[in-house]
Amino acid sequence: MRVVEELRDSLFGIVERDPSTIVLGEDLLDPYGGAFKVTQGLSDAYPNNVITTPISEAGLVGVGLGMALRGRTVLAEIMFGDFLTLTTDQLINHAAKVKWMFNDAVDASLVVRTPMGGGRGYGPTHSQSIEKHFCGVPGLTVMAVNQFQSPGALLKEAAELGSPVLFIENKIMYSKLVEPDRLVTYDRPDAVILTYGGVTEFCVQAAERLLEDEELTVEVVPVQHLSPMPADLIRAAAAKSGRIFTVEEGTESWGFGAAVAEEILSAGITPRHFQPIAADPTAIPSARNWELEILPSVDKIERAIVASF
Amino acid sequence: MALIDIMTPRVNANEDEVLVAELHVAVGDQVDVGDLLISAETTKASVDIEATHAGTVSKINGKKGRMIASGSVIVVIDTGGDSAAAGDDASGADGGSAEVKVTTKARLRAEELGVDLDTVAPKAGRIGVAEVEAAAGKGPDGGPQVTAMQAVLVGGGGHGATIGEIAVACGWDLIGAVDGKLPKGTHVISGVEVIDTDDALQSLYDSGVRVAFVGIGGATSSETRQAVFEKLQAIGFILPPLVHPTAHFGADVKLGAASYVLPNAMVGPRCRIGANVIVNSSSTVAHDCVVGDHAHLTPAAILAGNVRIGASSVIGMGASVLFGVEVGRGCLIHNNVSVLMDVPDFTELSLEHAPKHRDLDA
Repeated sequence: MRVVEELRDSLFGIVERDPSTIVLGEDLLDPYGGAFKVTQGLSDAYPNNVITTPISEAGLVGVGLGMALRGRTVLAEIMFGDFLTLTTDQLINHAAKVKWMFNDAVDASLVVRTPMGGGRGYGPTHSQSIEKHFCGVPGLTVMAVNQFQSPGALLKEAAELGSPVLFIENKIMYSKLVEPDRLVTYDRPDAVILTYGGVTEFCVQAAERLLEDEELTVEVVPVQHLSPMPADLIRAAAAKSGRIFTVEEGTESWGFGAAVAEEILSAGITPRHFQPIAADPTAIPSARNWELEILPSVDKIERAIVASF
Repeated sequence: MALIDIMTPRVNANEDEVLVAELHVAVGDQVDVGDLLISAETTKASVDIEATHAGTVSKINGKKGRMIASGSVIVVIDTGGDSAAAGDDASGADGGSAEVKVTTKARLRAEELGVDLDTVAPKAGRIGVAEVEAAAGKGPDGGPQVTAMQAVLVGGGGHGATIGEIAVACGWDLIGAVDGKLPKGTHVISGVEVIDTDDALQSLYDSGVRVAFVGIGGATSSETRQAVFEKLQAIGFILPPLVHPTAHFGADVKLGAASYVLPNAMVGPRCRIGANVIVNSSSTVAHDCVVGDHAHLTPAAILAGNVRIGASSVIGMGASVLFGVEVGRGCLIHNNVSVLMDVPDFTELSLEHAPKHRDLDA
């Protein structure tokens, strides 16, 4: 099954189990079914549960938050992750804080789904991975899917959490097969890669190549919960090897690698080699070859790991 | 020989990958122009990927049921030379002239084992861990896999058990004991049993074991232990000294090869202890003593400061040697004797008899 199909099945299941669920966003209605087809068929099957909205991300997340405050589970879709900046006020200043501002009398069961990532030649404002700006906000959970762990199960978890969730998908990943058997674990791997989201696939491919070409054992540990961070998962992974790499599609500074380093060092784990791999600190070019050059790739990951030995 | 890359086509402008639905060839297969190599699919179409050149399939990057990126190399065809010679063995045989790929793990293993990669025979143009280990004489064709901390114990009796225990306490990994008298399989200490006779020492060395410990005691004479020590040295074994963690080991002490300081012994500062010496349990060697090679200070022997003990002498249990006294070579000082003055070479001293001369071959 492909990632887009798992997410779609999961959405159908969420609406089926709780008929008060609202799914809203731009261009969601059939036959178009959303820009990346995650909601395809949903409005035909559940016409009362799907709302197509005007082009206003701040407005649709605000409306979603209002309905969530009245007790519904709301799943809002932002067509491109880059447009999340328009929802920042609703998410950070409102959704994340209501349980404290209203003394735990309410919380907002609001999931904001959005695809991040480049590789499609969509240019500087439709290709970014800006989820790091939403991590570390108390009250806002950030999750990211990868195709080696069930994306559908993660979406179900997000919808059932009962508090605001930013749910990160990936445009390239939608057409990928869900392949849990490609995650390999070792007792004492030569290196460990901690990663999340779309670039998890690059890490798995690099690990497969390194095993075949260099006889190196590399364990890829995808992180699905970005914020708050799962300290136990990260520390257990880091304790397995003296070589720790982090891979993220966004830029490096104040990013995933830094957060992982904090978890590891504060636990007293001091790897012999720690290296974050991330996008170059620049806007994403529209020219496909330049875009691929500044983003993390299988080759970059492979070269960095070999160079560490 | 020319290598032709067959690329993964872009079937649909919006899909960056295709699914490898079927592999119609395997590495090593002969193909002609137009032969079907791979059937690929996208969500909208399926396509056949065909050979553009005749030759041998030398690499397939796609795996059935997996996605592969459009624009990447999916199959490599080798168009050159006699097709019958394209097998693994043939390419391995001329690997010396072609560029040889060394895996990173193989490079690390070669450093660990001290193997010169130029001496390693590649297999199919590549040097892997298996090839490095084979070159180090630890291949899959027999011979134990040896690490730098593995060692053999010579002697599986009571003293062997004592030395074995100290070696383990000091972090060594004993592969077993060799003993000329005890049968194979005799238990020495937990995890260590007799694996062969002394005659196996050379073949153990050849298989990569580099470290040995002398587990031979000698209550009255050091001759047997000396012979074992010399045999091990002749083969080329490394014979590290050992100091049990409960022993006191003074400042600036020199301790020779295969010399062992046993539990609760005390060696004072600035002592010089030769090779193959036993400083047995609870014995005391005060400051500035000099102890010759192969000597044995048995349990609870006491040497005051500045004492000299000649090579191969044995100091009995509870015996004591007064400050500054010199005991000669090859002497045997029986239990509980107090040595108050210098003792000539090859002298036997006991409480019951007058001093007498020892006839030692040494």
